[in-house]
Amino acid sequence: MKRLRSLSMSDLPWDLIEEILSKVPAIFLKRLRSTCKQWNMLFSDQVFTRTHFDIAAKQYLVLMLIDFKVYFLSVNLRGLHDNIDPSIELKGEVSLTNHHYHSNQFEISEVFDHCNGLLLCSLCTNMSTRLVVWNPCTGQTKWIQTKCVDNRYEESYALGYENNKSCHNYKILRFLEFYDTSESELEIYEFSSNSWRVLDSLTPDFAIQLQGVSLKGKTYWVAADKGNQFLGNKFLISFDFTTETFGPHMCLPHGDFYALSLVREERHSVLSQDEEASTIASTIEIWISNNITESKAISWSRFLKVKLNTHQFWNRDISFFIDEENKVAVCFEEIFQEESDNNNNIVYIIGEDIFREVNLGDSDAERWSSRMFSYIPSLVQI
Amino acid sequence: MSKSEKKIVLKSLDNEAFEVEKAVALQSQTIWVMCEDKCVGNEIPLENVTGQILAKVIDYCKKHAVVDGDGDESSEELKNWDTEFTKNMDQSTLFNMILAANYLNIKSLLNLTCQAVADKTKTIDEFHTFLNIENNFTPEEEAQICQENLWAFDD
Repeated sequence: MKRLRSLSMSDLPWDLIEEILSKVPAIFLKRLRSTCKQWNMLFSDQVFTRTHFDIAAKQYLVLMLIDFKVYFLSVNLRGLHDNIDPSIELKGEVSLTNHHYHSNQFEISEVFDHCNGLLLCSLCTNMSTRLVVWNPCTGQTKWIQTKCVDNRYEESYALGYENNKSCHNYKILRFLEFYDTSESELEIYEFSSNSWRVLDSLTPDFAIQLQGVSLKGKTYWVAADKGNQFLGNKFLISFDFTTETFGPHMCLPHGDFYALSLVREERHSVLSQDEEASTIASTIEIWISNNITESKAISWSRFLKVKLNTHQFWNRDISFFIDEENKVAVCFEEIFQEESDNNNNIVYIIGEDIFREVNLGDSDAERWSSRMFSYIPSLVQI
Repeated sequence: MSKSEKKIVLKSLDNEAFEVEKAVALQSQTIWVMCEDKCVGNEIPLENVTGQILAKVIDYCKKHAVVDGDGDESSEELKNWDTEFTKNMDQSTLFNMILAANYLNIKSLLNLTCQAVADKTKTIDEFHTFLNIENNFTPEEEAQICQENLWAFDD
């Protein structure tokens, strides 16, 4: 019998090497970027990055915005139910640089949304909101100028794309709500034309309440009818970037909703906290929806219900994600500390018989901007 | 007459002969085309595959032919079998399997073996020994990329 020739990766023809690399999750591929020039070039090869997006395994990462910088948050919950302490640590900074400005570091004031591995962020500038769409995995950025900041309205942004067979045409929705008249104004920015246009055909009769989440080209928010924002019924609303319209109101489980997140990029989850009158106790409930991209009607099932005997009462900027395997929610909150005049960043791990608190340190109390989000890195080109 | 024959003989590069069911062999598009075109009788020479590798390819095809035929086994079971199949292969065998699957044009096997290599990237040290690829960056270029990549190594 003939002995096998000992082979290594370099013995394979290039098309087979590409086939292998297209299956490697983006974050691992990033580590291999310095292997050789040809591998590095794959990061800017449109055909490769599209194939990679379709077939590579989805590997979640947790990122955190603290003190205007984005960090990688290492979350290890292994052995949580056997009383092993969770390991949650802020790791390296994921720096946003712009080669035109000689690798100046930028301060990120907000991360509004993320979609297909792209983050939509705003930068700290005095005169205007400067938006940047950023792929932290490839380092690619797109800088977008918006109008002057105005104190008369609150603005919020969402990132999505037009569903088109050949490619994704990315778009940004700018949602303004005027404080005095509570009227809304919508604008769309298209990447293909690099310009803003007003969407005057839409006059929303609702106010969006929390940070939105993007799912398959649509953005979803928790919303409430205008004029009845605080006491009225809340519902889920979506904006379709292909048709540029809002979808129908979708029901939410009963409760007051504080945060919205995605489960494996196919289902929604919402977190609510109800305070019990005259005690310090409160009840946290987390619900998960069905896969609404497949069926039209939304339905919810409860993932967790936990009674907390703590003084913590969460503000509206809480962010969270759920870990289905360990049946826990990982929540993040930025709390003002009077003694130090700083904000304290705390991660909570909450399960039916688990409550853990991990302190990530202080941040500047001038601006409330800390946020945690889990996302899937990609090689998507902007 | 050859059409009615159920069995077929595959002959490896090193002259090992394997008699297999036609349904098993025809999962290879290459063999399928050879059968159609050449009227080679019932013996097919495979000049790019050694007997050692061909034996493994046939194992894979047998497993998958049975399942596709009667649908007895669940896809879950088949998936577990696939995992076991590649689990203990050393790197050289895996690359040989990839080349064979590519030459024989068996899409699902190519997929499986490429995925098995891709999965090894999760343990980066192991993967570097796997690569044996010449690094053609200048030290400055490499330093620049490594700097930009730092956070990706932090877990």
